[in-house]
Amino acid sequence: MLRVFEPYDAVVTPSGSCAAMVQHYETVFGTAHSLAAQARALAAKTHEFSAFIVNQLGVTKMPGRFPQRVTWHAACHGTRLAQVRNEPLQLLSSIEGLELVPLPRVEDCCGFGGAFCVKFPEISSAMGAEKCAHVHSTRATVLAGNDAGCLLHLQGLLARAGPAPRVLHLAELLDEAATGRPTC
Amino acid sequence: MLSPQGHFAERAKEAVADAHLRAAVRRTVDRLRDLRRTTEANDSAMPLRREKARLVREHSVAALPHLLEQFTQACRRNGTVVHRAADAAEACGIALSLLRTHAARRVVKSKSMVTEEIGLNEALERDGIEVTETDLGEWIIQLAGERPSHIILPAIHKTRHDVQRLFERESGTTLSPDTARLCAHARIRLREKFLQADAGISGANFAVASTGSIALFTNEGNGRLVTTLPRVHIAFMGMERVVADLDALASMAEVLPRSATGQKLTSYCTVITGPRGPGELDGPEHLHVIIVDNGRSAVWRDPEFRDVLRCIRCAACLNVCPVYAQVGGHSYGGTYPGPIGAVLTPLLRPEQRSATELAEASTLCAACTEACPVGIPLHDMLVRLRRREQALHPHRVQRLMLRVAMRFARSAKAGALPALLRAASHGGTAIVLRKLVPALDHWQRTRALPPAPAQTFRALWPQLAQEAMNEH
Repeated sequence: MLRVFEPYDAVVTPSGSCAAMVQHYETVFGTAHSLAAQARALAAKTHEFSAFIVNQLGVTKMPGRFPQRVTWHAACHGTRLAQVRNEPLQLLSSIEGLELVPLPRVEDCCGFGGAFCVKFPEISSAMGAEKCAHVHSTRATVLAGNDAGCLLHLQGLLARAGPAPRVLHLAELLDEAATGRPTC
Repeated sequence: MLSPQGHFAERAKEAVADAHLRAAVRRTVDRLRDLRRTTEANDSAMPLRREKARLVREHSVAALPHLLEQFTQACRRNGTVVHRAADAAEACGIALSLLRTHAARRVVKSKSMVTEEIGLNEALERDGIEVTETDLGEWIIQLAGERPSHIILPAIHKTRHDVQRLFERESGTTLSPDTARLCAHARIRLREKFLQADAGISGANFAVASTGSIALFTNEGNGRLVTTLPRVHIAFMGMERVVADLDALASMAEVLPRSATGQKLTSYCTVITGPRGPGELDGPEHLHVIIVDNGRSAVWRDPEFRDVLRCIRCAACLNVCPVYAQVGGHSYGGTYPGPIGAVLTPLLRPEQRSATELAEASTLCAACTEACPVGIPLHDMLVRLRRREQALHPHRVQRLMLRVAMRFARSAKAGALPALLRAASHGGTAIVLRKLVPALDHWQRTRALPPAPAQTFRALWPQLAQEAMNEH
């Protein structure tokens, strides 16, 4: 990782969880490690997707139209560890026609949790079922998020349980708004 | 501390299947965290209060040996006798010998987690001593023969109908399931116990080093009866309960109830400094404090985990924990459930192998760390515990699987992952694959696999990179 990304000015990741991991690389290596300086450098130039657009590019108005009811899944690592809270909401609310509906108990973990989702499938699914019930209660047609793990889990649960809102990554949603082409 | 039967995973699976339990726990933890949030949101000084509380506890833990010495000397001046117990057996032994000395056969107790930890009630009952818990929730679970399932609401998993049945069995009378009537019944029954008791046993929310006082923050008033009516009062405290002075205590008095129930203060804030003095009309003739180590010194010497001793047992971490809300307190198998229990239990009981799996029982969502008013990095500690467990007992299968997955990711040709996804989604291969890879089976029972993409990102990248270059 350190070697591969060395020549680039910025590293953008679609998941807040990945951003948080890399941003905390120094604690993984330990401050005394010979690679600590490189780890620090990579941490400093790694950004979550929406944070990169808003804070690095200074862009807050997104092009296109997306005339749908959208609710946002605020992933735990993105918000609590990578501290990306308002950036995705700012981008979503800037899109013409998009109606952003708050998700009840938005701060609750969806139950994905990495290996947790297959180590404790019953607990993970029960947590996810609560999240899905909240999603349904918003009557949104799209659930959007910025963490691939959570979205994989929630999409899987929603798809299994019957008719459900589409699950889109923020990047997919922005692309769809800009181009008018559905991504899935 | 209770030795749990079986493993967390099994207990949790049962708990998740119990809709009645989950609904009861969910209702209560939601109420508690909403109360805390409302109080915090309406209090502009809250960040400062939390910061002060964090500093107080940080200092208390850093200066622990010194503060305990200071506390012991101040107690001596007040006429309070201080005992130090290295472990559960010694702590129970000290209490037993004190009760024998004072010919005490009937004991009333106010809520104390450390006495749960050392199994005090069982030890006293084996000696023929009658022990009555007088905190309402504690009394309910004592009658049920259970353990607390929450730090501040021990009977969170019981409904009023459960309570009605327990009270009817205890009293041999017929009762109404009306909550107010059940409380009134408990009040009458417990009042008899208070009046008959030879000794009162309490915990201590905090101990004050400069004055040699112990502080109890309660809502039911039973704590005052336990500590003033009987002729002997024995207070148990974990050795990390001590704070420097009354100013530090005031900070705790503000932050503990705010974090626990959203109250600005508990209904009763009791500070006890010595037994009944000459000319005083009430209070016990004898006051003993038993300072319990039971694994805490080892935690204190461990730089990775020392900070966990800051914990003030407010249970804010339980009330926001999404895993706790699904599995309830008993799944954790120890005295302390939820995130704090998942950290504390394996640290206090390193010999108990099954406790180490508690560190796995978390999605690392960090809601606990965010809620903790004294700044304990709970989710980081769970990661440290996992790392330590891997170093001590490497999980060979897991490592092998990770290596295989990494090799696959590195060498995967463009179509390999989509092909695998397709194979795992439908038909005969899916069944075979699921049998071979349990994780896949665990995923698929409740979740669909994602549709296989026509092309992977890796396959698209050369063209995307070229397009990006051309745009520049």
